[in-house]
Amino acid sequence: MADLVTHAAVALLAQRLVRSPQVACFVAGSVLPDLLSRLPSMFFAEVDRRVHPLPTLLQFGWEPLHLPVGMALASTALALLFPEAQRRQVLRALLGGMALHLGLDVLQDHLGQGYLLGFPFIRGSFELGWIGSEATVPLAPLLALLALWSWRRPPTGQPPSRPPPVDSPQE
Amino acid sequence: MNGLLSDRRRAWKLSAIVLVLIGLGVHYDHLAQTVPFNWDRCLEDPERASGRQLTMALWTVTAIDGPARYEVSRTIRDVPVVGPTEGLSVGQTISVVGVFSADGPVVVERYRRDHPWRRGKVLLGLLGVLGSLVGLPLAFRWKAGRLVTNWPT
Repeated sequence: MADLVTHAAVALLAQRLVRSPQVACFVAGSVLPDLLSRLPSMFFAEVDRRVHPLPTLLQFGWEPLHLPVGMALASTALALLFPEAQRRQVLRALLGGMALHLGLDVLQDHLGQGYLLGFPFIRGSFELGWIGSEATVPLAPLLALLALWSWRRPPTGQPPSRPPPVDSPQE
Repeated sequence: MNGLLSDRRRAWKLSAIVLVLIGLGVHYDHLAQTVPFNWDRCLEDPERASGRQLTMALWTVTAIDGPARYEVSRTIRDVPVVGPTEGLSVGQTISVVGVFSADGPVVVERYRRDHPWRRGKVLLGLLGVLGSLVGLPLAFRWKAGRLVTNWPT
C-alpha cells in the first residue's frame, strides 16, 4: 500500500481535476481505508507481539475496511451521519476517494499477495505489480508540495483574478 | 429522500452496517487462518508440505544465525530460513519467497527482496496519521446531531 501522505496528496491533486463539491469528504475517503483498517490492525499486532497474545480477529478483522465491500459500507455509514440533503454527494465523494486509494494500492507489487477485491464473493487476490511497495516514498514530499501549491492557485478554467482598477487622480 | 440514505430508521441502518462489517471481519479472520498455505500449515504435515512454495511478504528479520540462516517473523513468529545473511540486520523488513523443507524444518530461500525505504514509509505513515488526527477534526464538526464539513463546498 502507498503511504498516507501520498494518498492525501494525490487526492488533493485529483480533486483539482474532479472538482467534487465535497472536497473534505473526497480527501477523507482517500485516507480512511488505512486509518480504519491498517492502523488498528498494526496497533493490535504490536500489542500481540510486545504485550500479550490477542485473538487474531483483532489483527485481521479490520481488513474488509480496506476492500471494496467494506469501503462501500463504511462510506454509506459515514454518509448517514451528514444532513440528509448532502448524503448523496458525500457518499459519491467518499467512494471516489476510496476508489482512488485502492487504485494506488493495486499498482504495487507484493510478490503476488494482492488484494481480495471480490471479498467475500470471490476469493482470488489481485494486484497490478507495476511499482514496488515503497516506490512512492521518495515522491511523497514532492507530491505533498505540489498538492499544497495547487491549492494556493484557483482551479484550471477559472479566469485569473484581476487587480482592482486604479481610480484616476482628480484634477 | 427515500431509501438507504434517508433519515428513516437511520439508527437501524447504521447498526446493521456495523453488524455486517463485524461479520465480514470475522469471516476474513477465518479465511486468514485457514486458507493461506503458510508455515503453520506446513508444520501440520511436514513431509507432505515439503517442496511447497511459501511467500512471506514484508516480514521482519528477528534473528541472524551465521552466514546462511536467519529467522523472520510477522503474525507467525521466528520462521527459520536458509539463505545468505549478507546485508541483513535484525529489525530489517524483507520479503522472501522460498520452499518448505521438512529437513529442519526450514524454508529454503529462493528469492529475497529488501525494502530499504521501509523506515521512510513508516515515518510517512506516522506523519499521515498525525496529519489526519489534526486535519479531520478541522475539516468536520458536529452540528445539531449531524456531521458537517468546515471546508467550503
